[in-house]
Amino acid sequence: MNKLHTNKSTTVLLSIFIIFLLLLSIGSNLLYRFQKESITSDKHNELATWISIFTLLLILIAALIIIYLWKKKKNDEMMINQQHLQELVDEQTIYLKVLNAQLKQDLTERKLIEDKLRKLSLAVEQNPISIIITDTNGIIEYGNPRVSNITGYTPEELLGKKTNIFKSEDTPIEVFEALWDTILAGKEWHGELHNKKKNGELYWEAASISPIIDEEGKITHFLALKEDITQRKQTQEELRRAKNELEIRVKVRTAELAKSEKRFRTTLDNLMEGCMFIGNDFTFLYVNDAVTKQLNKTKEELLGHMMTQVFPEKAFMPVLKWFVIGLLQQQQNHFVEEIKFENGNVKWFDFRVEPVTEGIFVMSSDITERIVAEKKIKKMNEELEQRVNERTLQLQIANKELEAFSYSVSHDLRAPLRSIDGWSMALLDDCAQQLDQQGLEYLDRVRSETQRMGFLIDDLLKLSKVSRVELKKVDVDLSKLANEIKQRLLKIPTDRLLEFIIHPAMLTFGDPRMLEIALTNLFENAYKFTGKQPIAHIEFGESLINNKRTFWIKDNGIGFDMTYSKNLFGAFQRMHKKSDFPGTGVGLATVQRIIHRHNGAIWAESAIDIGTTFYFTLT
Amino acid sequence: MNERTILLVEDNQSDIELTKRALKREHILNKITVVEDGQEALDYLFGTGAYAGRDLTKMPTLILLDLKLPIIDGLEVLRRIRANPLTHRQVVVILTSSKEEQDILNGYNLGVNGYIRKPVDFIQFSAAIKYLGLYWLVINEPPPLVNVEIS
Repeated sequence: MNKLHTNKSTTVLLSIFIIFLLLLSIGSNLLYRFQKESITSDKHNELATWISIFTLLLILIAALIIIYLWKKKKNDEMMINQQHLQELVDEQTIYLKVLNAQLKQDLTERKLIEDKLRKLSLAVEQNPISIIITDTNGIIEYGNPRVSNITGYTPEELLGKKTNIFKSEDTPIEVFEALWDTILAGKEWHGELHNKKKNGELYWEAASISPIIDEEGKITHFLALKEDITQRKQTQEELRRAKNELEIRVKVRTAELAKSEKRFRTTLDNLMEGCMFIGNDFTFLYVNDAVTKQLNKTKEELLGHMMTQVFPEKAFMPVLKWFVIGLLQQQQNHFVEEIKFENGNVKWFDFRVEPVTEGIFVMSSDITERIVAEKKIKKMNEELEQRVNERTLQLQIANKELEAFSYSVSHDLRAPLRSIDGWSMALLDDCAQQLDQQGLEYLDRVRSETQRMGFLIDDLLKLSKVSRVELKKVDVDLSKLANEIKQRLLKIPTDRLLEFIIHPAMLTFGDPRMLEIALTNLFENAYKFTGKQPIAHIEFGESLINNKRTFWIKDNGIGFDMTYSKNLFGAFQRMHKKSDFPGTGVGLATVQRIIHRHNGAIWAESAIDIGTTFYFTLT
Repeated sequence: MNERTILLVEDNQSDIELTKRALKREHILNKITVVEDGQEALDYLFGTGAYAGRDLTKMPTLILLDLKLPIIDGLEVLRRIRANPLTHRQVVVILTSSKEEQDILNGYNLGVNGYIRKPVDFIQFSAAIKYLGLYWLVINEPPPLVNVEIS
């Protein structure tokens, strides 16, 4: 505006200046005209020229100024126009800027809302809780994937269906009535529904159903949030059933316990063993009758009293010590203690301490009789053992003596016999002429008796040897031994016929040298006592007698009278006249000793003139 | 050739006489030396005691040894004979009453050359002496004499 003003004043000034210039030109012209006469012609001309130029110049300047002024005016007008336009533009720009800012803000807000919506939608879609939105009639408008997942209906199948497709007969009608009443009243309904899947399977849901209300307070939709609680329900059901069962069992058991407690109590009361129950406070809580008898105390003296007070005597200390250990350390114990009672009685008890929750249970038995008996037996055993040892020693000594004796017999008793026989022989050799027939006969008798004595001594030594010598048992073939003996017997010259039958492979276990002596004696007996038979039959075999393996030697010899059979195996016992059948009478004694040393038995059966059979067993 | 002699170690007079009788009866006429206990037997063989200075080159061809002897018994005599290099090859035959197994075993363990049990029957005894003398004094070649100096 100032500029415009400035321009106006400039224009005025310039206009004045132009007028001045015009006035100046007119004035100069006039002046020239008035003074023209006074001036020489030459001079005049020149002056006229100058004035003309000057006037022209002035006019030119004026013209230029006018042009300038015109132009300036025009310019000024344009300037004003432009200024106005600029203002308009500026105004518009500000408006647009404001608008833009507003738009930007709108956009941000929108984006936030979109984000929020997206998140919410995702939360709904992926929610592990079934979410169903229905219209006011219960027609399903939306069900999240979890619904399909549980019920088996695809999302497409769900749309447009009524929610009662899930309904099962297991949920009472009243539940649904209450549900609808609640939500139609605009309130939220909570409850459990036993629903049905597409495949008919039933499942449990914890449902929360609420109405969706618009700004005007009108119900537009229902929203159902449901959780599958089948598993939980099942667990609950199982728990409930288990609890019931347990309760029943507890009841039954309690009844049983009551019964058995009574039974136990009766049993304990009547038990021969002492039974006591001592509490953790060391007092007797229960004692049966046996205890009172065993410990010489009445029930009144015991029950409710501390054990240390009831039994302060030193004699009870070891027992009480075990009880205390049982009580304090919950330790099981079994021990035997001797108790000296004040009245002088000494008794032995067997105690069993069993820790229980409220103390110890003790069983006591009076084992005095048993202990006394055991001691007696022990003493007897010791005495017996001592006697056995003494006897063994005596036997060992006797055996040694016997050995020494038999050695002496073997050496010293034979020497004089030899001398008698030798000098008798000398008499026969040197003095035969001085003796008559009878004298010679007597000398023969002396010699034969001497030699008999020699055989007797030899046989006696054999007998003592079979008793003394240690047995060395191995596998023995009796058949083989018998055959060897047979061969020896067959070498003896004789007129008779001998028939031996020896059963094969009679194997046994024993001392072969001893068994050889025994068999030799038996075979020699058979041989000897069949001496009067033209054909001797001797058979050696085995059979089972009374379930025991028994060997036997049978002959058809002279036999003997069974009345005297008990003398058969005695030393020097003879069943026949010496003149008929010579022998010392030691043979069968030796055989019996050998069989006995094999823990066997020997016996004989005989009939006169028919024969004899000897039987023997070996362990 | 050295004379083949017999050393009889026997304490029983009857046995001494009867043995001599039997030898005579069987015509065994070799010289017999009799010693009556174990100690005497060893003294004779080693030239000690009563026999000190005896000519030890003259050793009996056959020693007949009884077992039951006074002072030193027969088995001990045998042990010492076998232990001494002077006599350890001597022929020794045990001639005794017993046939106790232990005696027989001990005799052979100590290296006896023979063991004969004297039978009661004199005729049998005589026969035994006959075979004994025949074998050891005639048939058998005795060990050569030991050089005393060397041993």
